[in-house]
Amino acid sequence: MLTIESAARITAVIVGIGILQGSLQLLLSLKEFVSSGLFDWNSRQILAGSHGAIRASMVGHSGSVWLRIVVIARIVCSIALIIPFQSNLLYASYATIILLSSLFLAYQIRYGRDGSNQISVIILAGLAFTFLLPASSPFQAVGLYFIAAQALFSYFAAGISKISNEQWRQGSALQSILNTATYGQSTAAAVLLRRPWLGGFVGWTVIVVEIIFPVALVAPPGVLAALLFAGAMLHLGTAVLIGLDTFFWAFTAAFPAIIFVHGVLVG
Amino acid sequence: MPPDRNDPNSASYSEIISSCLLPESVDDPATSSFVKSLVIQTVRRPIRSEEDHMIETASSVFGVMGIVVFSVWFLLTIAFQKNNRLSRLTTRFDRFTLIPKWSFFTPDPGASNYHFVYRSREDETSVSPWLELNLSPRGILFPLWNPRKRYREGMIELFQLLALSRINCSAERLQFTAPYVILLDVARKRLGGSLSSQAFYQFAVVETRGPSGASVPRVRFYSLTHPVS
Repeated sequence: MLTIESAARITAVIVGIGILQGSLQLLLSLKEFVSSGLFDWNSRQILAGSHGAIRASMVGHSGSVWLRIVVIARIVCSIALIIPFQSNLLYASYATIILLSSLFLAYQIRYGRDGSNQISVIILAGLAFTFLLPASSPFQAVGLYFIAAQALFSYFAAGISKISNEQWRQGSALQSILNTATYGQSTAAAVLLRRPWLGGFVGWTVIVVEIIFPVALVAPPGVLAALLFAGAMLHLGTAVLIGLDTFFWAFTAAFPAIIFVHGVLVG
Repeated sequence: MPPDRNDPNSASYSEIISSCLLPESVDDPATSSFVKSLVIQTVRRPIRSEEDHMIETASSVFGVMGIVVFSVWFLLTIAFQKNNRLSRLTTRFDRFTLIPKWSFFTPDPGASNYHFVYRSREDETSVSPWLELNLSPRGILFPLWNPRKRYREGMIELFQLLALSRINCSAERLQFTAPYVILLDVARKRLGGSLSSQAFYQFAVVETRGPSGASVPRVRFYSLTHPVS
């Protein structure tokens, strides 16, 4: 069983690694957000009128400078979040700065975000809250409860969404995804094409694991460990095969909170 | 009013302590210093306790606020999973995309590839061949390090928004929508310096199924031809 302190610290380290990875990648692709890039600030200037005065003030050269500053601040704070033996107030400050920068990026860069960005914001909000409150406060664990609830719900909702889809039920969805040039992996797609039962088996395993994931909260420790392992493997698989690299860190960062809540409920 | 003997922080109680243990009445300097510090600490304690009380109150207020905010956030997340009036309202006001929709690879598991192509025209006769923007370049470290992911996801999102805008807008209005303007700008910048000021250019979105070259490309969208000037 994890204590509030240890669960929050482990979560901070994992989410910090994910934020660092994502921010370094964003720094490398910043050319897409400055002049002549895909999400050029000049293009955004055209749109500024329809998105309010705040956005209008953040375009052009000053906008791209601000963007660079924010991304560098995220890198510094994510490194600080990983470093151990600091006060909770400092950890709360780092989490809050990264959280605010995430909101800034979400507002400024409208395209190309994914679920890993959203779960990271949820985790950072819960973490900042937990670190800000003193250990004596009865509310300190609320942030961890929130993280665990959102993470478990994310798996459950994704599982329900898949089971409602005919391609997933038939077992052909995985092969379809891996068979594309955009998301896929030709070797894995060829394996599934030769053995269609394997695609069905893996697809249904994903659906079942996602739907029963909330059971982890009240399950025996062995089942909890098995579900968390399955979840981690799922994210590792999507990173290796589909290239969703930041999902691994973003979602596994919620696991210590799930273990903590499990400890509270099961004892 | 007699001091509360159970409350060592009581001001009256500390006054009694200091009056009983006057530092002057103690001969030994070390003991005198100890008593002095004890008296000072005792007198100061009520102030520190008030701070503690304030911190406790502030954390309680903050804690309750946290419960309310996190509960609303979580309930909105649950409601947002279905396409209903509340989720449409949330989408409209959620500028920070705080409310997630957990539908990985559904309802469309993503069996299509989208291609962004563009070309220029210098005059009525000389049209350049269609050029394609590579959306999914993959390096060796692709599973661990994929900085182009955001680029790919952003472009696919723009294609989907363009398809939606096409349904909801007239052809005249479509060219003023955000996805159209941005994609047109991408095409112009890709063509770059090769364009003269008299040139025209356009883009198209093409869909294929399966691996590269496995299916016949289907044109999903043609833009109008726009003058560079």
